[in-house]
Formats: sequence, C-alpha cells, structure tokens
Amino acid sequence: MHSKKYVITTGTVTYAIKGRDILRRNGFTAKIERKSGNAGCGYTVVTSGNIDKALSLFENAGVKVLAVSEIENI
Amino acid sequence: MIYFDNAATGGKKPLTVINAVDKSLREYCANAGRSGHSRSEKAALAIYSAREKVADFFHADGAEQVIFTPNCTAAINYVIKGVLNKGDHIIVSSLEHNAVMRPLIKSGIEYDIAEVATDGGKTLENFKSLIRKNTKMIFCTAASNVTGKILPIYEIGQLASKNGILFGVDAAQAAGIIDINMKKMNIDYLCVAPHKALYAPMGIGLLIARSPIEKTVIEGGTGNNSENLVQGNLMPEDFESGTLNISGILGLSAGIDFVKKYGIKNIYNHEIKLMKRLYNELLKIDNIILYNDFKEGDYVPLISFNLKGLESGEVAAELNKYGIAVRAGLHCAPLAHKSIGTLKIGTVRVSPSVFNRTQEVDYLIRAIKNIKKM
Repeated sequence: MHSKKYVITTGTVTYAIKGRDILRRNGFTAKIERKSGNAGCGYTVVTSGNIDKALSLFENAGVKVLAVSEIENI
Repeated sequence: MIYFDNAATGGKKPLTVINAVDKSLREYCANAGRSGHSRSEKAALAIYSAREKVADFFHADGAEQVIFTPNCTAAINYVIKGVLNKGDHIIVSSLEHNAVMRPLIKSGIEYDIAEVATDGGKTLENFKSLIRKNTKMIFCTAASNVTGKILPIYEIGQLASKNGILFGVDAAQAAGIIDINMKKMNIDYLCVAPHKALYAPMGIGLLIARSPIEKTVIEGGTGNNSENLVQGNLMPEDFESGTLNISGILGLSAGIDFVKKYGIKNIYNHEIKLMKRLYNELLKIDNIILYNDFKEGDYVPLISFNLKGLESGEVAAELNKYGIAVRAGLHCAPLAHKSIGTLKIGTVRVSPSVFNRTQEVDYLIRAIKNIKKM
C-alpha cells in the first residue's frame, strides 16, 4: 500500500519541534529531520496523513512553514 | 562567606542546578540543532523543553518567543536597538539601570524619564503625562536594584496597551521573587537575569518577546537558512547567532524547577522576613540612613543604607572583613541613585536569597553596629 509522506520545512528547529509536538498531540505520526542535501542548515517535520489539516494546525499555532514537499512512502 | 549580594548575582546555586550543568558538560556538548547528529538533536530537544518551561513560567505564548541571550543586559540591548528606530520616542522610569540608559543614549532615540513616586497611582500618572504621538515603547524595571521599589507593572502595561504602545520590562531583580505574567501584564518584551533569583549559572540571559523584533543586533550562524548571506529575523534562532550556551540553559531549566518547588510566594516571604528583621534593627542605629519605608508588597527584598560619616565602599570593605558580602557604590544605576540623592555617595546594598538564614542577618546587624562604633 502506498501512502503519502510529507516533508514540511519550518523556519527554525524550534518551530520544527513545536510542529512535531502539535501533530503528535493531534494523532499524526511525526518526526523531525535535518534538512537533506547541501542546501543549508535547518530542520523539517516529516509526517503523513491529512496534510491540509496538518498545515492548518501549524497555522493556528503560529508555526512558520517555508515549504512542503511530497514523497512516496512504500 | 555570608553572601548578601544576590541582587548582583546569586551567591549559591542549588545542587540540582550544579548537577544539571555537570550533566550538560558530560552529555550535551554539541552544537544544538545545527550539526544534525544524534547528540546535536538531543541537545536541541533539551533546549526546546527549556524554552517551553520558560514560556510557561512567565506566561508567554510559546517556546518560540523565548530567546536565550548572554545576559539581561544583552536582552535589553536587543529590545532597544532591535525595535526602536530614529524618530521613535520611549518612556523609561527614574530607577533604570545603565543596561537601559546606555543603549538608549547610544542609539540616539528620544526618551523621557517618568519619576517613580512612593504612590503607584502617581507613578502611573507620571508615565501617562509623557506619552506623545510618536511614543513607541514604555520600558521600565519591574523593581529597582537600588531601592527595591516595585513598579506598578500591571497598571503601566494597561496604560501602554490602551495607547497602542509596546511595553518592555527589565525583570532582573523581580524574576523568581514576584510573579510575572506577561499576558496579564501586557508585557511585550521581558528581559531576565536568570543567574539572580532563578538560581541559574552566570552567562545566560533571557529575552521573551511576545511582539516582533524588527532588527537583529548580532548576526552570524543560526542553524537555519544558511545559504542566505543576509540574516533573517525569525524567532528565536535568528536572535541567537553563535553556539548556544547549553550549560547555562539546562542550569536555568533546573533553576526554574527549584523556584517552582519552593514557590515564588514562599521565597518572597522568606526573604522579606529577613530584610524586615534587618530593617527594624537598622532603624535603631544612630546615624543610619535608609532609603525606603519597606512597606511589604511595595519592595523586593533588598535594603540600601548608609552610615553617616563613612563611605559606602568603606562599610562594604569592613563587612568583607567579617566575611559578609554586600555591594556598595552606584550599582550601575546612577539614575536611581540620583532619585534618592545618593549619586555622590552611593549606598550599601544588602540582598538575600532563599538560602540565607536569620542567624546570618543577626550576624550582619552585629557587624554593622561594630563598624558604626569605629
């Protein structure tokens, strides 16, 4: 079964941890990961499930999101 | 040594704080949240927990509002230089420390000084009368480091909020001794010296910002957005350039636990009881000069005094011979000394912590009486 996994880039590691905790409190699986590749430092939140709901939770909590990318999770 | 200089820095740290610092050096030495390896992430998570604890303690809105600084002075500089611009006006109190006045004067921002009166209502009126169209901020100490006078922070916060003015508070002498609720008090920027009454190690300060800070004061590596040569202003990391002081942060976290365990009210009551005992005995000494009426609730637990005919520095030096640590002089607050008429002579300041005992106060009283006889 294929499920979508999302990588949410936040402004700072503080926002990444805050975002992760918010998602977990709301039933999502979520973890923080250092930004991949060589394009600078920073942390991301990796999650799966309803991304619109996840982003809405972030917005309500003031978690700044810089980018969202989707990856296939087999 | 009997240490009564806690308004300068806490002279004794709880074992839990010492252990937290020890542990940080054994287990958390990493560039927190920047290097990407496990220990770096472990350190980042510990720092995040500390931010949450601080935010909760001062009733801020979230961990991202907590900026770790080298000290309270740096925090005040970040507010004054990061929020205000030429053309803005600021009102400060007549009891401010040089940590406020020097950056203010250096920045060239227009300012007025509101006289702090014995009566809180009058103090509030003094602030109100100085508000102008371009007043962007009121910044004041929560309690004087010279007289101990507590300012009517709640009322000043309301005044600022009603007039659309930002409100900054220097809580160096108040944090850990009186309850500070940023939301209820309408505080936008709170600057804290955790090494005093929060029992943290020296070298760690706090700026808690519930409103934006436009400009950074220190620029450099922040662990985010590294490809960009221009510094951003994302909270909190963009205001924490350079490697974070994790020992200080974890020590601070343990210090807050210590204060919460004892309870702010209990700490205040204990220390104020000691200072009342001292105050009542000092009143009996001929030629003593005191600078407040020490009404409970109006002062944080510290006492400034002078002995007529002796310089404040001489008295402190004599007390040092008895093994007693106090602070003499101007306490880096000439404005406050001007307001009580001691700009030329300074005062001797006695400031306790939760660790001081009645017997130590009695020993201090005996020493002062002996010095007076000299």
